[in-house]
Amino acid sequence: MSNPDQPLRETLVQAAELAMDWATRVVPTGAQADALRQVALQLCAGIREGTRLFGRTLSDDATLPALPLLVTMSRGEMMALANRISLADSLPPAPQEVGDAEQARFLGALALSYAQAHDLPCVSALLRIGTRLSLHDPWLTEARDYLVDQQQPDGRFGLLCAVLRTLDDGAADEAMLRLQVEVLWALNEVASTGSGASATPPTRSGPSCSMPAIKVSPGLASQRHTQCEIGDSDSGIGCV
Amino acid sequence: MMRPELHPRLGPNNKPLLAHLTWFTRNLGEITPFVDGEFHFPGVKALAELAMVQACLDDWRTRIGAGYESWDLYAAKWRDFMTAIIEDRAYAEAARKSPPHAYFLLSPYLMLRGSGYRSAYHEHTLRLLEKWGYPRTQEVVPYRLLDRELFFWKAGCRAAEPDWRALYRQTTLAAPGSLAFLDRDGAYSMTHTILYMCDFGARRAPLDRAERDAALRAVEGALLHYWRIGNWDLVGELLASLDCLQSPASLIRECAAAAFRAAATAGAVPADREAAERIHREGAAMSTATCFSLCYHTTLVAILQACIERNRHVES
Repeated sequence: MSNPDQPLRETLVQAAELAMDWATRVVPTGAQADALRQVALQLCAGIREGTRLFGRTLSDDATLPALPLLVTMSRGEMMALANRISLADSLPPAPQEVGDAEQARFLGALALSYAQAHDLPCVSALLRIGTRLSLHDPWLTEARDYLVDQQQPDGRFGLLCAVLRTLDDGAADEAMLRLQVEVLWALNEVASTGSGASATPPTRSGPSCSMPAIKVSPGLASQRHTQCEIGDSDSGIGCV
Repeated sequence: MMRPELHPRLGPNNKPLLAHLTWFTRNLGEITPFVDGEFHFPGVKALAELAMVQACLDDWRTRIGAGYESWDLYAAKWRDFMTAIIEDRAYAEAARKSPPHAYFLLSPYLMLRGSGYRSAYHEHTLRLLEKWGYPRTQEVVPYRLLDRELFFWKAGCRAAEPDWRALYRQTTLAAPGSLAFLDRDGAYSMTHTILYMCDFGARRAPLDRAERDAALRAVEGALLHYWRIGNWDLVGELLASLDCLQSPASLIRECAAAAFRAAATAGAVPADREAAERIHREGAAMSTATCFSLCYHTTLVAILQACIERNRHVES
């Protein structure tokens, strides 16, 4: 749970350790779930160390479009945009008509709008965009705290029990792990930036050195984050 | 940011506003407080809302004058329609039959009373209700209390002006909490609180700077959410609330206002995206009554919003 009296870094590390406990206990039911679990564990380790897991590996420029388009674009387009911006190695100045403060307010309000729909992946995606663009606003902070507050005592994020009951075990595991990766990715970006990062990364005490390094590529199955609702299958071009 | 052009007749968005008024006037007959001899509460609610908008427009016509000349074309029709219902003896008796519903039933009368209209029967009903302890004994949520106080005050039934600030302090707006959990009821509570305590833009909000800033922020955040999900009814109320709070220009406000204007078709504004899609889908097969029920409230909101925005620029 986010605690206003606790330094941000401590809060994030605490959340990461709890998430790591959960991911360690999960027995993946397939290759996809196993890959997601590995990513989740590495993201947790990155949060603890204050280091970004996913490098800026995309050579394409990623530009934030005019802000009103973020409201009218589909959820899938918005998630894809967040991924491009998070992974881009350069961010040319966006053609915005407004300053940083208004951009930050806009993104923060949009993130909280998705929070009203319990859409954690979208909240996470918008928080990543805000963090990548070094934008600051109380609403972005609120979105970050909202994500942390969604963590359950067992380390999972989200209030998924009712939905998960409608899925078979394999699909449920994968849905939980996908959501876990989305939220942890956002928290990893926050933890490696500004007040979330430690000046000196702590010595790693959890599982990490033996983990296989992951080369990030949006095309790699384990790195592709579905934009579909839980229960739908991602065909690659749409949700079915 | 460019200031809206002030049209010499009705407001900065003269043409759309006249289209709203024309649509509403043409469909007045769809407001039906009685159906098959029984009270139809959605109809009573619509009548009360109509009376409130009429009272605002009458007030602006008197107080501001310039720009409201076109209102004269509609005012008499609206007033005649309302008084015919209010003076219907079956309607008039209902408040005495059911004192717990009396305020609701009398609110159209209270609005007309504010502009000088009097009915001996309804005046006697008000005295009886006072004797019976209504509506005082009836528990309501804080923003509804603000609503009630405003109606009685505007009707001239209160000797002293209510303490708007004290009433505001009990509402959601005074402590809105996280935007992540603000629901539809909370959003309506905020808009009603602002519209009532500011008397639809006629009075500055009785808030200090920090309270006003917090209110502006909460309203603007909610505005983006309801714009995103296409709830035009709340978008309209939130835009009007921002004008009542004298909000500075912002991207969220401008974009949501453009989307709200674009939601109107032939003068009618559907309540939300689903209503708009349904109207589009069913087309001529949809009954006038259904179309009216999907659009009337948001169209009234659009009338208020356009006028409050216009008044703000005139008065500043």
